[in-house]
Amino acid sequence: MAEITFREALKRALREELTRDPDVVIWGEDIVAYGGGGAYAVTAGLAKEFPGRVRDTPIAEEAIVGVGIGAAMGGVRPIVELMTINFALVAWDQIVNHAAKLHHMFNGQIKVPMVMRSPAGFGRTAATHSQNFDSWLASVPGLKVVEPATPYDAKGLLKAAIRDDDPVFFIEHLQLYGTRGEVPDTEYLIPLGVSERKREGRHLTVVTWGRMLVETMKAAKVLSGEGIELDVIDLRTLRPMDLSLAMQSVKRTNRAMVVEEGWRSMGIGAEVAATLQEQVFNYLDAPIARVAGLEVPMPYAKNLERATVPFSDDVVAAARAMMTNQY
Amino acid sequence: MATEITMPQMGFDMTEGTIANWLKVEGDMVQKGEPIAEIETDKTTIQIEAFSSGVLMQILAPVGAKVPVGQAIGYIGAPGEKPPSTAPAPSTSTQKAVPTSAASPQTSAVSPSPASTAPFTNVSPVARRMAEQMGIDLAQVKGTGANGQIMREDVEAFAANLPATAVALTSGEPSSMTPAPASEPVAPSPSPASVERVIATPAAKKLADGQNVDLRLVKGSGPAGRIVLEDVANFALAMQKQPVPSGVAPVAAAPAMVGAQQPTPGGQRKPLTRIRQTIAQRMTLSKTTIPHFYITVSVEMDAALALREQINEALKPENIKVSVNDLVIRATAMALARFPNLNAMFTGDAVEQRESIHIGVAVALPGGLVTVTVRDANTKTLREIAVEMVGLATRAREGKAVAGDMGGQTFTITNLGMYGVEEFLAIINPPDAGILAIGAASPTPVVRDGKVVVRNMMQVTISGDHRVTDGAEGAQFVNEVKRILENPWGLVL
Amino acid sequence: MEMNKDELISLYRQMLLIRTFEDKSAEMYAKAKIAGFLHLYNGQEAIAVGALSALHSDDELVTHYRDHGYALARGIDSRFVMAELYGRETGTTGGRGGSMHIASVEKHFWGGYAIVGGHLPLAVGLAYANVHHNTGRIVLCVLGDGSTNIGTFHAALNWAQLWHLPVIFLVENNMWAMGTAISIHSSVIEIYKKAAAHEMYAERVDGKDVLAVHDAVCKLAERARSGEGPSLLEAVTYRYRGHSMADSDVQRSKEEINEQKQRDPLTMYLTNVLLKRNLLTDEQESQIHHEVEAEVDEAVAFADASAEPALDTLYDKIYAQPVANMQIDGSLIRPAALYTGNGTHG
Repeated sequence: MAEITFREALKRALREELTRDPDVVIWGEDIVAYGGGGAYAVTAGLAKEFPGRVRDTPIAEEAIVGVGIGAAMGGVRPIVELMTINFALVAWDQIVNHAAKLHHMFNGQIKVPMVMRSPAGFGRTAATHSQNFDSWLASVPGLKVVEPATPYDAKGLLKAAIRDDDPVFFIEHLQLYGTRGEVPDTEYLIPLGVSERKREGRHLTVVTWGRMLVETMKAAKVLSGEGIELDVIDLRTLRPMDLSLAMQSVKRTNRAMVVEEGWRSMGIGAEVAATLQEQVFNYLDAPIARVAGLEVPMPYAKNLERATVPFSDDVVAAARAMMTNQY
Repeated sequence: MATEITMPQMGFDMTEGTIANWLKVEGDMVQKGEPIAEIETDKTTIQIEAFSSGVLMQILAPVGAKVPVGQAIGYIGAPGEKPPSTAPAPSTSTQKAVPTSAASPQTSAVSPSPASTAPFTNVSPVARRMAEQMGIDLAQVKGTGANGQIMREDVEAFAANLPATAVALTSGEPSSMTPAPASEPVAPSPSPASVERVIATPAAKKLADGQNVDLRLVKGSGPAGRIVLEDVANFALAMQKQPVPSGVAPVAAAPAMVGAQQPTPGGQRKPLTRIRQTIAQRMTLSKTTIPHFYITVSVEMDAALALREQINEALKPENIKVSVNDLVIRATAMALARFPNLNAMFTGDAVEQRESIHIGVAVALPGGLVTVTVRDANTKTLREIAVEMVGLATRAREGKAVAGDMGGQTFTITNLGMYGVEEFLAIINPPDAGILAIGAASPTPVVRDGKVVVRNMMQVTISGDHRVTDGAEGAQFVNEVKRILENPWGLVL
Repeated sequence: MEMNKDELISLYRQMLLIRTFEDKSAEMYAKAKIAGFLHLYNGQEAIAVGALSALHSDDELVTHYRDHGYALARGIDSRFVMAELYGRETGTTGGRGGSMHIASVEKHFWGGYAIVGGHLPLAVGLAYANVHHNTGRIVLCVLGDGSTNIGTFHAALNWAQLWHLPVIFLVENNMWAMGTAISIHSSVIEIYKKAAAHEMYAERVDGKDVLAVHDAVCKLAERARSGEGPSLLEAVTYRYRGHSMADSDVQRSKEEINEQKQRDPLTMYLTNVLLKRNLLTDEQESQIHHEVEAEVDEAVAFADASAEPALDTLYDKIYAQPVANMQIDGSLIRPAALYTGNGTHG
C-alpha cells in the first residue's frame, strides 16, 4: 500500500472509471490545456489518455452543469468540474431546479447520473473565493452531497459517486489536495451515505467531515495527553446524512460537539445538533457544542483569515470547556 | 339544460371575487368563450368567459356581490328554458353573496369550515393545553385575545375563580385524583413560573429516574448549578445532613407517612432527616426490587491476624494501622478481579460489567450511615487502603466529605464486627450486584486434622442480586475471598 | 417531407384537439379543478403541430412550460395530460409535475420546463448524448421570445455551435414575455438574428402557418441529421389568452388581440388548404369536431374519476438509487413509518 496525495487519489479514481465505462466523460473549465490539466491539476494528463472524453468547456457554469444534466438524462455519465465551488452559484438554478428535481418531478422517468466536482474552502483568496456551501447543498432533496477527508476516502467515494444514478455534488477541500495517506493499489468503493468512526474515545463525541476531520484528529492527540478521549465520527456524506454512529457514540459519551468550517448559523452543525437532541435527548449530559467558522465574508489579510476559520486549537479549547462544564 | 355560471378561480391564490360588472343582462344570447362579466379580485379586474352557449337565464349575484370561488353567480340555458325554480343551494349560503345582507366579517363567506363544526378553534395552543390539563371546559372561558381568541391568561383567570381542589396542577403528579391537602403549597392560580423547576441535563434526569433519585435533593455541579450525570451518580449514595424541607418528600415515601401524620399520645414525631430520608428511599428500593440471596462462609482469620500484627509493627513509626476491615477490602477487590460478573450493575435489559473496582464501605454515623468509596481498590496496597480509609471515615463522620469520597462504588462491604456481631444479612447497595456482611473474628472451636482446636473464625455473608448472578457463582466468590484471607501473603505480595 | 391527405387532415385534427383541450382546461381551472399556474397555448397551435410532424417520433423533444400542445402533438394520451393538470396518479408524472412539467420519456418528450431558459443547456446535453451513442436522433428545443434574453440562451447556443451538436432551437415569438412586450424586453425584435452572434444558422417563419412551420423544421432537421450542426428557427405567432389563468391581460389591447384573431392558424389552414383543395368536406369537418370534443370530455371524465396519488408514495423517486442508512435520519429522507424499503426507489 502506497502513500499518495489526496489529488493523486482523485485522479486514480477518475482514470479507473474512465477506463471501466466508456459513458464516463469529464468536462470543465481549463481541465485539459491549462497548466497540464486543471487549476488544481486533478485531471492532469487524462485528456491525452482518453481523447475526446476529457474536454475543456466555455466559462459558463450554468451550461457546464446544464449540459451535463442533459447528457446524463441521455445516458452519458458526465463528471463536470466547477473550478471552485464559488462558481457553483452561477449554476445554482441548474443544480437545484434541474439536477436535484428531475427524477422526482418527472415521476422517475428521468435519471441524472452526474457528478459535480468542486474545490471548496479558503486559501488567501478573499470573500468571493473562500466559501463552503455544505449546508446549502445538503438541504436540497434529490441531491447527494459528499465531502471526503482522506485520500483513501476520496478515491473510494469518488468512484462510488461516478457509479451512482443520482446527481452527486462532490466537495473537495482545496487545503486537502496535498495531504497524503495510504491508498491500496487494488480497487475498492466506499458506499455513499455511510459515516465512519475515525477515532475511538469515551469522553466526547465529535461529528465532523472534510478538512475539519484532519484538524479534529490533531486536536484529539493533544486532548488525549490531557486525559480527554474524543470519539470522532466522519460524516463523509452530508446528504443523505448517516447519524447512526454519532447517535450510538453519544449514548456512551453523553456529550457531543460538531466541528465545521462553514458559517455557524443554519449550518450542518445546527442540523446535526437538532437531530441528535431529537434522537438521543436522554443521553445528553451537556448542550451540544458547535465549533464553526465566523460569520464574516472572508477577508484577504492573513491574520484575519486565520481568525475566521477554525483550526485544531479551536477544537481543543472547545473540548476542554465542554469537559470542565465551562460552556 | 341550464348550466351554472360559477365564480371562477382566476389564479392560484384567489379564493373569492366581487362582481364588478355584468356585460350581459338576463335574456341576452351568449357565445361560448364570450366575456359575460367582470370580476374584481384582490389583485386585479378580470373578464370571465362563458363556457357554454345559450341564453343568460338568470343572474344570481348582482354587481358588488362578493362570492367565493365555485359558487353559482348565474345560469345559462336554452332559449325559452326556465331557470331552476329553486336555485340549488350552493355549499355556502347564497345570502352571503348578496351585499344587502347583514355584512358579516369577510372571512365568513370563504371560511372552509363553518364555525359550528369546529367549536373553540379560536384558542391559543398554550391555552388549549392548559385547559385540557386542568379539565376546564373552554366553552365557559371568555377570550380576550384578538377576535376573541382564548389566551393563556383567560384560562388562568378562569381557573383562579374555581375552588382550588377543582383544578389540577399543570405540573407534577396526577393529583386530580387526590385533592391536595390544605398544607400543600398549592397556588390557587397555578402559573408555570410558580412551579419549582429543577435544572438538570437529560442524561441526569434519565439516571435519576432509573435510580429513583429525587432531583430536588441533588446539588448540581454544572454551569449555573445544572445537575449533570455525575451529580446524580454521586448522590445515589452520598448523603448530606440537612433536614429535608417539608413538602418535598419523595412520592414513594409519602404513603408510608400517612399513618404517622398525627403523633400517638405521649409519643414524639420526628420528621425524617435528609439522611434517613435517603436511607429509607434507597433501602426500600433495593429490598423491594432486587431479589436477594445469601451465602455465608466461615473464614479462619488466624494467619491474617498474625500478618496484620507484623505489618502494624512495621508501620508503627509512621503511625499507620491496618484494620481487619482493610484486609477484607483488599481481599474483596482481588476476588472481584476474578469475578467480573459480580462487579457489575443490572440495567433492565443488560448486565453492565464495570471497568474499575471501587469498594464502598459502610460507615456508621449518629442517626444513619453512609458509604465511602475506596476507588480502584484492587490496585492499592494495604498501606494505601489503610491510610485512605482513615481519611474517608473521619471526614464522613465529621460531615466534611469531599467530592469523590462517596458514590461510584461497584461493590460494598459492611462490617459489624466491632459490635461483636457474628453474622448478619445486608441489603444490597444499588446499583451494586452484591454486598458482603462481615462479622467479628472470634475464637471458635473447630475441627482440624481430626482434632478440636480453637481458631479465630469470621463469618462472611454475601447478599447477591439474583438478576445478575446465582448461588453457585456467589459461593465461588465468597470462597475466593476466604481463600485469600486464609493465605494472607497474597494480600501483600 | 411531402404529406398525404390523411396526414394533412391530421394536422388540422391535432390543432383542433389542442384548441379544444386548452379551452376545456380553462373551464376546469375556473371551476377550481385545476390549480396553480396554467399556461394555455391557444393561437400557437400551428407551431407544435407543424414542427413535430416534421420530425421522427423518436427525435428528442424539450420544451418550455406552455407544453400541453406539444404533449398532445407528440401523441400523448389527452386523458393522461388532463389527469396531470388535475394532479391525479394517472397523470403523465403521477401528479408530481402538473401543467408546467408534462413529460413522457417513452415518447421522447423529456419534459416541459418551468424555469425560463433552464432547459436550453439540457437540450444541448441531450444532443451530445445522442452523438455519444451515435443514435442518429436530433433534439428539438422549444423556447419563447422572453428566454432569448437570459444567460443560458447564449451559453447553450455557444456550446451547441462550438461542439456542432444536432439541436434545433425553436423560438415561439408570441411578442409578449409574460406581460412585457418584445419592444420593451429585447434589443433585437427579429429574434432569429440573435443566432448570428454564435455564427449559427437561423431562419424566421410564419408561426401561424402550419405547413410553413413543417417545411422549415424539415429543412433544419435534415441539416442536423447530416452533420451540419445546430440551428435556430423563429416562429412568429400570438397567444390569445393571457400569460396564465392568473393574468388579467389588461396590458394587451382588445384591438391587438382581435386583429391577431383575424389570422387564426386553424381557420386559415381549414379554409386556405383543406377546404380549398377539397381535402375535407363540411360534414367531415363537423365529424372531426365531434370526435375531438368527445375526446376532451372523455379526458375530463377520466381525470375526475382518477385517484389522487397515494400519500405513501410521497417519498418515492426522490433518488434513483437508494443509499445505506437512508431511513435513519428521518428529517432528511423518509420517516421510518413511511419507508417501504423495496429498493427500487428512494
